[in-house]
Amino acid sequence: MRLIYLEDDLIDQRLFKRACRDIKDLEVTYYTSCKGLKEEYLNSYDGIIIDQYLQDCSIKEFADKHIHIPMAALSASEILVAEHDYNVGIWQKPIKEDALKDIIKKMQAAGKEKTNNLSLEYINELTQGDEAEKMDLLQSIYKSIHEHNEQLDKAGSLSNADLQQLLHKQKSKVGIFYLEELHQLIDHAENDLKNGADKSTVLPKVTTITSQTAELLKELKSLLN
Amino acid sequence: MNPLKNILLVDDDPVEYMKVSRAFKKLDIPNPLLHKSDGLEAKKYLEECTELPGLILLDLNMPNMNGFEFLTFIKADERLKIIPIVVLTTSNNEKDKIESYKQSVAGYMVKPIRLEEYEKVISTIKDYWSTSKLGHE
Repeated sequence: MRLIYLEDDLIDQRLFKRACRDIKDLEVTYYTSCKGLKEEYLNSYDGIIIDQYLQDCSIKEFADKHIHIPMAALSASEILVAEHDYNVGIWQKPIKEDALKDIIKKMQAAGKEKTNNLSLEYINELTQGDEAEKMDLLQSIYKSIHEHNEQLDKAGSLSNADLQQLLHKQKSKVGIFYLEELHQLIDHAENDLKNGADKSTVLPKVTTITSQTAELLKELKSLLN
Repeated sequence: MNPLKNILLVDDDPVEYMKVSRAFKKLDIPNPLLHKSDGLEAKKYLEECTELPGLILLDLNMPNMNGFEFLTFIKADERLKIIPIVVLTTSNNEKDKIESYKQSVAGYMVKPIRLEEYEKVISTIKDYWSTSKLGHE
């Protein structure tokens, strides 16, 4: 397990090191600021632990940008109030060994869930390690998914044929990231329309599709930034 | 199949072309892969070409001229109707399958979303059409 701990208080860093001491296979890299940390570098870690009140850093912006990386926040406050929706929650400082073990477990689960969601395997295969081409491809797919999602947001005013066409396009784009559940949901909605279902019965599915696709767009955007 | 014969992919999604192209490379399929973005473009190409493709891989859901309209055109043309057409689509819809076979397609393959399964589909198409004799070899 490789973690990054962002903490500007050096005493808290030392207390954290003590909590880590007896945990096997844990490697922690410490930073006092989130400034200058590149996306690709952060992606190579299994999780980020961050001081919720880190100086000279917008935590919200940082957490939004790296939503795809398991992240836990630490706070010295006795009443834990998350300033942001961290995917591994907020925890009391100074961190104890048992709490750190819990964080690691949650991060492993979040990482696994992540692997089961958006996958770049196909994109990597298609672009064969050419980073510029990968970004171009991701950008064009992002643009296409975004445009279609905006149109799907107005599904109520679309004809059945247009809605069906849009769902079809969205389905193949979502598939490239191995989002099988979302792919299946779109397939069902498309098939319902093709089999003559009334549009009003399909609209709730479309709402779920657009909302899940919006999450995908967020993740893609963070990869593109 | 004659390894020099072109294979024509008719699909409006450029990413699908990338996928098929990549699978051809990985599976060492020597046939040149041509790509047309809809039925209309493919129709124009076939009307003008001197050497017919050995096989057409056809998507169904496309702008301008969709897969079914393309099938209607091709099956009405004496010169072109001998080209085997395999539908390669994301549609698992029964009506689409039945309609395609009514138009005498040689196969109906649903595009799997996973890479290795996609390659299996392309490999199956390759194996079948490498063994089967064409009417225009």
